[in-house]
Amino acid sequence: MAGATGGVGAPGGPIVRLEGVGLHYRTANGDLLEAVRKADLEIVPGEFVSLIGPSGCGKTTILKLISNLLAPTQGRILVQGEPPSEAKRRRQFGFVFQDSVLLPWRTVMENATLLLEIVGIERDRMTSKVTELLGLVGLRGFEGRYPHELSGGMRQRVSMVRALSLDPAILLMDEPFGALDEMTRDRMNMELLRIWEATGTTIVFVTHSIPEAVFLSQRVVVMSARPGQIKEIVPIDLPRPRQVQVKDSVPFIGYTRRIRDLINGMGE
Amino acid sequence: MHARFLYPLGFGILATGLWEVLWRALRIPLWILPAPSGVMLKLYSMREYVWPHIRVTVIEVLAGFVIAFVLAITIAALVIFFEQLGWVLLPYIVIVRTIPILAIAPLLLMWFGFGLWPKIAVVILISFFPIVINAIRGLRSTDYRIMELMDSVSATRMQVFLKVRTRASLPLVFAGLKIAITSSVIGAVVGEFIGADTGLGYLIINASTRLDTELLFSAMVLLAALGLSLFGLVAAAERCFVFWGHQEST
Repeated sequence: MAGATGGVGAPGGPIVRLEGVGLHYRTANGDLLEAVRKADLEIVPGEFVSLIGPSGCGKTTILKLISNLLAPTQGRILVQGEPPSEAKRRRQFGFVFQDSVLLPWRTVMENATLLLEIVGIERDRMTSKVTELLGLVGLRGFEGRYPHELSGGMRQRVSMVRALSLDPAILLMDEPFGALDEMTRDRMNMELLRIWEATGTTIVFVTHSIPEAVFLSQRVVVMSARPGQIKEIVPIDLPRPRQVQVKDSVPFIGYTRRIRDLINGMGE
Repeated sequence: MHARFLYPLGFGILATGLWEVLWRALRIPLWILPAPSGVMLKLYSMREYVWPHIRVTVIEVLAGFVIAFVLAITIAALVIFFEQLGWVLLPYIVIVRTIPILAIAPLLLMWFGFGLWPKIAVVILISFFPIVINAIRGLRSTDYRIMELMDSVSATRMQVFLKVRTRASLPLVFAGLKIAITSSVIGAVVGEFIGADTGLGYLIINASTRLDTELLFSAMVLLAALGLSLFGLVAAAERCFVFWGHQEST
């Protein structure tokens, strides 16, 4: 399990732990806003967890709290048994955003090695590491291309390689395929599962798409808005490795219906 | 040739032709307006006389532009690293921009003498502002998610500056340079109006006092050619350095 072994938490314990986490902040006009209320969540190493819910339910906020981009105003967060700031210092987080956010003046190779350059990895090791990852996502032969020469799906693969380049224990993905067309999205889902199985990384995945969440995840965290809170955590018990055909199966449709009802407030 | 260049060229030839025809048909006196043919002949016959004037103006424009560029980029970079410095400087940068050049030109002559330097100073005063404002904006125009990524690997401010900000700033820096290079030509000419014995600006003053409209228009044609060529050079450099296109957000 790449990266995930670096933790100092109790063996077998959760890699991410949220205990009664809340976040309030003041808006520009002085109102106190509750972005997240009393969130409890445990994620075990190597797990694939999705966060789903309406806009403004705090999905992205949870990602930012886990990765120390935001600090909770209530409760406590532990990553590998330590405060998130510590895990961040040990570079345990990889990020993939909705847009690939590649640097347009850098080639595929140069974009993929950006973070390694910052950290100061020597060039040979950097190249071999990234070449391996580019092979994993099927971008061998595109090393010298620029982002504007690639399709949206390919750009997002480069973004995934960049996120994985430092062997993070936890990959935080914020609607990474939300801007892609449905066919590309399906293919990217399959690729992501393959990468997840190959690397053993823990993945926390934010999405708007119920079928996507069910298809990918071991557990789906259903959230509701105003204030953002965890409504229910639905374990997905579908066979692996998952194939696209599973989307037509009765249990799959059962899961999507249940989650849709939960989001629409009919799940109680 | 590309249609991109053929169209404006065609328009220019057409307009000049119309001007020539009207000038002849309406018998416009030479001291009011010269004919294009007359201007061209004047230019040709005076080519040896005009050459040193072109050279001086080009030197003033280029020297002022390059100095303004170096100054503006240095200050923009310092403002990125020391935000308070920006708070202190920005009002004064705006104030300097609003100073009427004609008001301080006599002072510049006193300070820098009669040669190239007062003109170069005017060019710097005029072209510094668009470069510095756009460079600051450009250096700040980085995607916040790239910043989060850099933060996740504890990148230093210098690393962020060198690996992200400098290149990300280029589209806006070039927008500033395009405004600055054309302003530089105006700056040099205005500088020469105030006191000079060479340069295209001097030529214009000289020609207008003698009502030599053909020479006056010759100088303006040369200024236009100079402005167009310099602008073209900046645009070519932009295409070379900003090869990914402005609208690309990825």
